Amino acid sequence: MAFIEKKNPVVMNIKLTSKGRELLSSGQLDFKYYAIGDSEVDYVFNAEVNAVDSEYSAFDSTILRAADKNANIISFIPRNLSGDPYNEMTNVPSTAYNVENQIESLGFFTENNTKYITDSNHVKQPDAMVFMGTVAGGNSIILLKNPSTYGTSGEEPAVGDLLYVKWTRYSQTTGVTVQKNYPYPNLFYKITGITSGSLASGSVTVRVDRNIPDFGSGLVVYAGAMIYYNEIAFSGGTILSMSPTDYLDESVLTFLENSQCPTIVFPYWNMSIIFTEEIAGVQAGNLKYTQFKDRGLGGFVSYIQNQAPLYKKLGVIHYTNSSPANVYGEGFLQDTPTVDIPTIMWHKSTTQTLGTTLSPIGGQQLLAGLNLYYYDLADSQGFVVGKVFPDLKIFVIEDQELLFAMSYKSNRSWTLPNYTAITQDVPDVPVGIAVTWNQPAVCCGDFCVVCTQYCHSTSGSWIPFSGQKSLIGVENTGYMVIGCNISSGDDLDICLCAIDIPTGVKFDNVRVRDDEPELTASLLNVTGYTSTNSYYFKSCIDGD
Amino acid sequence: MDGNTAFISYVLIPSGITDGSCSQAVHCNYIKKINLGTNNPYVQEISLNFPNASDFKFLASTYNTTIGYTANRINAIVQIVSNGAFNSFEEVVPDSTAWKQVNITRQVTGYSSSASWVLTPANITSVVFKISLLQYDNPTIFLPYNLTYLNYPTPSQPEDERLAFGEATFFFGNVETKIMAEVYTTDISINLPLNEFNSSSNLSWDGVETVYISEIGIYDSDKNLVAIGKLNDPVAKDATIARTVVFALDF
Repeated sequence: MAFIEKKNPVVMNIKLTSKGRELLSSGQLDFKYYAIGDSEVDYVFNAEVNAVDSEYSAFDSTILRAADKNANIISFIPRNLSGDPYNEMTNVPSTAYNVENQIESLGFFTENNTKYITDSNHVKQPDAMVFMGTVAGGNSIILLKNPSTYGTSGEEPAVGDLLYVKWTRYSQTTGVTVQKNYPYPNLFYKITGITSGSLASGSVTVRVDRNIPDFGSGLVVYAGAMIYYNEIAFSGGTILSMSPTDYLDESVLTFLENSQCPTIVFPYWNMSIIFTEEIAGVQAGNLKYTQFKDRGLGGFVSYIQNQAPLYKKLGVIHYTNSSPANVYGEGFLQDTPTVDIPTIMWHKSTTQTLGTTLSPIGGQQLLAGLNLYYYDLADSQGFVVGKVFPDLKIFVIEDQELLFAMSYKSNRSWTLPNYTAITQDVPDVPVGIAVTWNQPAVCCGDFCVVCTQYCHSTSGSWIPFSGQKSLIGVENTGYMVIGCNISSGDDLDICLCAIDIPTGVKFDNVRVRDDEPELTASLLNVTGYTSTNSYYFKSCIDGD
Repeated sequence: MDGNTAFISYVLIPSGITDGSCSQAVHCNYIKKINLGTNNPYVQEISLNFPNASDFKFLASTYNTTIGYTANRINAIVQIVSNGAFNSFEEVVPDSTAWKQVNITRQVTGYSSSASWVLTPANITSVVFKISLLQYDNPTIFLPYNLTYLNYPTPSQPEDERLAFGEATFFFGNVETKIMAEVYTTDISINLPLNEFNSSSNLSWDGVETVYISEIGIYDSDKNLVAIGKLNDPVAKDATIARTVVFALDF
């Protein structure tokens, strides 16, 4: 039980009683009467106080908060002196209105996302650094104590922590400033082992989940490093004040629900990158997507796409935590939410600086099946990367590259550009035209051809090519020459001859791959030959 | 379903660059799906190109760059899937274990094997890369593609000692928004006129003085107290004061 906090103006603390909630749960709640009371006013006592302090009145009385199982009203202010205290309510209208509030930016950055937050609610140990002259590949890394800032945290790195390194070549990246104008990889690693030392004593060597860069030994600059808990054990020290949502004036008393939940506010958002398909390159012995920690969110991928998923990998930015604080209320206000990713190199940025801001774009759209409204989420240029669902209070990242760049494991904090890719058949020998090929021959004598083969559409595989072949009505034909006994980088002349070409058929567009994208002569000059590659020829006979 | 489907993407690789580089990062996750039809897939070729040099604004133009990332090799990663096991093109999916990679760097205009040569926004967009599938089955040309370079974990590794995709926890950024609550209220307006609600059954009330309203109860038809409201400051009411009380019970 608590007393109502004295506020100005007067507010009313109201709630359904337990009996009211019981009736609501069974669909029997109705409002029939109201009664006005003064149970907690002691007029005699107030008069006594007033006698010694004329400013004092019952107005100054402190009243208990309304409780779920509230005591009965024991003294009433009836309509008339001897009247029934229960006054019938003839009309119970319902209205809807919106309440808006600004929520302060929550996350790992401050001052308009130009500085890292380094308090203990966000980062375990902010004051480590790496001497770049020792960064020479492998999965071992020496973390040094930053002597100028160390001390706010005495925490040591531990297995399972995340190590964040702001790699650099030239400019120092220690300190709390996000160096937007020096976009260089900022990468997370998982600490998988502690080899020796301690940060408190000056340096600690840790193993991480994959190889670090190899910058040789010539760099004499320090890269900033911070250690984060893999799952941050929030201590609850940050409190966000919630504003009252309404008020009343002198002549109108408004009942309001202002008995708020605890207001401990988790200071950051969560991110889950959900995979419902395997990642290219995952092998039989690797960890599968069905074994990922976020696999429990697999159903969400289908759900949020109306059970007809276009994307099999989604990122969800959500505010899930163990605090009952209802920080984001019922939802975002329309198109006001923004997502800032200050350390990413987004290839669609207009400038060569770190970071991107994602905002709702266009009008509100309806996800018909779920009857759920959303906005497209786009960068500053209008490039759509996902959706924001104001009512669900989540952001969904659909752009498959952005997902990878946000992933801790991808080993990059940059996105790679999209591309176009089309396929085409290599032009064929026209049907009905017979072309006879000589076996590819070598004009120079300092290497030998060890294998010549051709590919025929009816076989779909390589067939040894020996002697002269006359191919009639071939749909798909290719020729491969594999050479050996030649020094890497030597120039190589190969003569590929076609003979007995029917009248009117032009030998056209013989191509050699790997070195020269396209040549149109039968005498091919292969520059920079390497014995590790095979060189093949594909014919194209133009009948024009 | 007859025919074949090709899946393709690319990966940028830094390898032996003068003055070093970051270690290899994961491939591009914009994976294209191409219907190869029913023709022999091995005599087809895929044309791949990057239409916009500004998309590579963070790809450094020099090996000893002060900004961005460096790479000196581009590999196409490719997989040909037989459609035989699928009913429609939409259903065709790649096998994560069957991807292959082929080095297409030499097609870049101005390619050099020098350790100081790097891919640049200009040279990587200067060419339409041709990926012939003719040697798809040649394991010396189309090399197996796997995630060994990321030291990709196995299931037997303890969770604390491994990092995989799908194991991100916090969002390393900020969210800022206004919030909105759509409030449904049961609004009951009660007038307290000058000559009514001026007396109290409070035993301490003297029968004449101003009464102070401290609470308002709402009752159902059986006179159960179903909602209760209390004022932080009791409000005076007498024959000189008219008030309106608005019950606004939120749902």
